Amino acid sequence: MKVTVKYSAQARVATGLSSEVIELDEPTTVHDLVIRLARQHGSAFRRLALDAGGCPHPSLLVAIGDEQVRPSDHRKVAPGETITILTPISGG
Amino acid sequence: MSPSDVKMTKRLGTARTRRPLSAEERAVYEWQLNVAGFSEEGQKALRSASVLVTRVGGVGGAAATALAAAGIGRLVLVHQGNVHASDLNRQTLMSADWIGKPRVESALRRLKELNPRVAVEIHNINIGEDNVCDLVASSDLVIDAAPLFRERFLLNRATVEQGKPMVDSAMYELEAQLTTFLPGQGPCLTCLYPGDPPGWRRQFPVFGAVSSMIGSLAAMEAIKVLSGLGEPLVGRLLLADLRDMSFRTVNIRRNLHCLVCRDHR
Repeated sequence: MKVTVKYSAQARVATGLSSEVIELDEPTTVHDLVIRLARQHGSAFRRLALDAGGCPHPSLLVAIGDEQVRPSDHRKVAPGETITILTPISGG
Repeated sequence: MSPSDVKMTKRLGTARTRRPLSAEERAVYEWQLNVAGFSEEGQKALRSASVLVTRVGGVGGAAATALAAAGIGRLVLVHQGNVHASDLNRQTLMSADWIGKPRVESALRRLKELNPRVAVEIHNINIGEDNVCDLVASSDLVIDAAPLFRERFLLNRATVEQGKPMVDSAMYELEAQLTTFLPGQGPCLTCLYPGDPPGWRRQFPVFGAVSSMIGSLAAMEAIKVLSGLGEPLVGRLLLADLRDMSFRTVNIRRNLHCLVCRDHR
């Protein structure tokens, strides 16, 4: 199945992408999807996305469609969904 | 009526207790007095209100400008340091002739030129543990436009504990985010970001048009909360991306285990 991942702010800079389509072979949770993307996109994105223990950082904001989801919810993504990954910003 | 609404009504007084607008005030605010759902009562609510804006750079400066123009009663401006040349691409309350002099004094001067009816209180400091409670207590609403999460978290804790609304606005490059935290309703900042956010740096790429845009929207949120107009962004995060001019909102959730707001619901 295919899902679309959008990247915002520093995540966009770290991945060099505003969005991409990801092919998933099996049902995947948001938690596992973030870990997969962190492995795929190298150290700059990994530092933003994962905590010291290798789990999705608790302050990473993730939305499926227009609803926030927490990676700790272990919500599975469905075919065709759009997942937005937002890194916290504080420019004032 | 929620606990926050009750507190807001107490602070601002009821519509009946506020003195009428003067002829001069009616003339100045004529164009907004005709906004549906706002009227003279909304204007009097703004005139009775006090807003803490920290800091008054690109985002906060635009917010303070829009609030002063709209006739807010009192602005409390917090920002330490002097104007630098590199501020001038976005900090519209600063000017080239003020380089090397305190930012808050430039802000005071410009805002009083715009609207001399507004009381402006300035503090040449940044938000810290030693001052945050008193500064939040001195205001009815906070506009958070701080460049560091440490300041944002201090403001969040103080507003939650004191039951004050906080409009949280931020920018990065061509993107911006905005939400409104009302204690007792919806999440707080720590619900969103329970851990110290990784990767944020004090210096960030930005155009002044981005900061002015989101600062003006933050002022609109403050006007709505204070006057009862419209529907604030409580429980919703506005995401603006000026690279493709897309605007959307994401529904954001309380964290039932939030260390800041779980005991204030």
